[in-house]
Amino acid sequence: MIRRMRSACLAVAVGLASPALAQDGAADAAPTVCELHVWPAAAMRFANQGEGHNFKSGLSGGLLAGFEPPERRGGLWKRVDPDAPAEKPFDLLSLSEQGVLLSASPDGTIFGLPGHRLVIHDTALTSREIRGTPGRYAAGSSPCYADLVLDSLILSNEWSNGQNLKSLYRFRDFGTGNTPTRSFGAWVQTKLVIEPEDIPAKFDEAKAEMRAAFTNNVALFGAALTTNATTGTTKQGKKK
Amino acid sequence: MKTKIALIAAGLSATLASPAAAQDAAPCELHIWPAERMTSVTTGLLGGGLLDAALHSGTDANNKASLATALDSPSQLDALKSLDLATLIALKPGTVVVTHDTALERKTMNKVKTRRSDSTAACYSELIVADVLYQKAAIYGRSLKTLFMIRDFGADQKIDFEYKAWGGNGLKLFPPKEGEDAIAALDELNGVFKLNFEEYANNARSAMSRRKPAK
Repeated sequence: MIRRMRSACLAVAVGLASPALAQDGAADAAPTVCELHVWPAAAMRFANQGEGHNFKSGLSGGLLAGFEPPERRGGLWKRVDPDAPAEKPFDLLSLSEQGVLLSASPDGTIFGLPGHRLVIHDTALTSREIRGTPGRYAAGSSPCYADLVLDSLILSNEWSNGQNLKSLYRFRDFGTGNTPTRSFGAWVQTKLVIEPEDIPAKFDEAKAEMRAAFTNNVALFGAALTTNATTGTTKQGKKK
Repeated sequence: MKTKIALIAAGLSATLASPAAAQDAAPCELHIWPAERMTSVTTGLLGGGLLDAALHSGTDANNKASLATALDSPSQLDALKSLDLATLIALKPGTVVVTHDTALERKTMNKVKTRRSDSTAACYSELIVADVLYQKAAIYGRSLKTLFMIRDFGADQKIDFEYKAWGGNGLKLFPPKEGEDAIAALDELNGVFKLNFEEYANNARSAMSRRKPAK
């Protein structure tokens, strides 16, 4: 199931006079515009980088660290605040909320693909699907195709560095073929003000902050993607 | 959740060629668990300590996020499954590999001395990935270290043989910088994880050859 988002200009471009047709009817017809397929992350995860995690040099210090799945983080919140809301922590940015935020752009312009219709999927790809699919993730008959996957979404609590929402995006542009002509993946992050321990007490506020950070990360990745495409920089920042 | 993936190639042909023999002798099982704990330790010229930890907290958090993504449970299991386990850790012919998607709780890894699965196989062993550690030191550079543990139980609940050790290799691309292409660096982690296991397995085979019962 996919939710199809179309901009007004795109509807004009493909000659869709009726909004109803633009929403449903065209799903059955062969698309005549390029598509950018977008997948949200399966769930938000939590990382904690405490003061003891690399306090000691060498292995002994490193072994103190942990990476917490949402369920365990939820348990921590319950211990911190017995009156914590019933919502699970990963509901801070559910699949559907991510979909809404990702569909805020009218088309693929922010990712350097103007005129590409955004196709927001409401299910996440699995880790194996992301890494083990060399071709297109979605079958389709659009004349050209690109995909964007939010691989990881992590709320990171960092000692002496505050908390951040980190996102790893993977982008591939297939053009008209079945193999990527360009691929790019990068981490982006946005600083958060509300501390994880305060989230249960300020849940709505935290959700709003998380949404804003998510949207900012999309913009940051779009900027990194278009900059990379323009300059052709490698990881080391040298021109190819 | 567990998944039986395949008969080890070395034993497959023998098992298929002789169904009667296969029925008589149930195949051995190797159960694999991935690591849950990812750690990044960056030390500068200060050589560690509180100030060093504070200075590198953000970097280590970024690295940990990358480790947890590139080496999540499915990626670790797939990486191990792609290797010739039969040869690397000298499995008995026909050994069935069973992978567990959910990592074991780290603090129980050394405490629990019985089988970690409910299998009652008469020939049973375990391969546990205990820790994944990225380390950057001022002098030694960047490396990925992985702690593996093999436990062979035989037919009962008592460990007959145990070998736990680190495998470690250097990194050239990892860690990626924010906003720059990260895919090659993330892929490198996967490749080095495999190298680490091969290094561990070589040492494990040596230990097996001078095998002594676990205490």
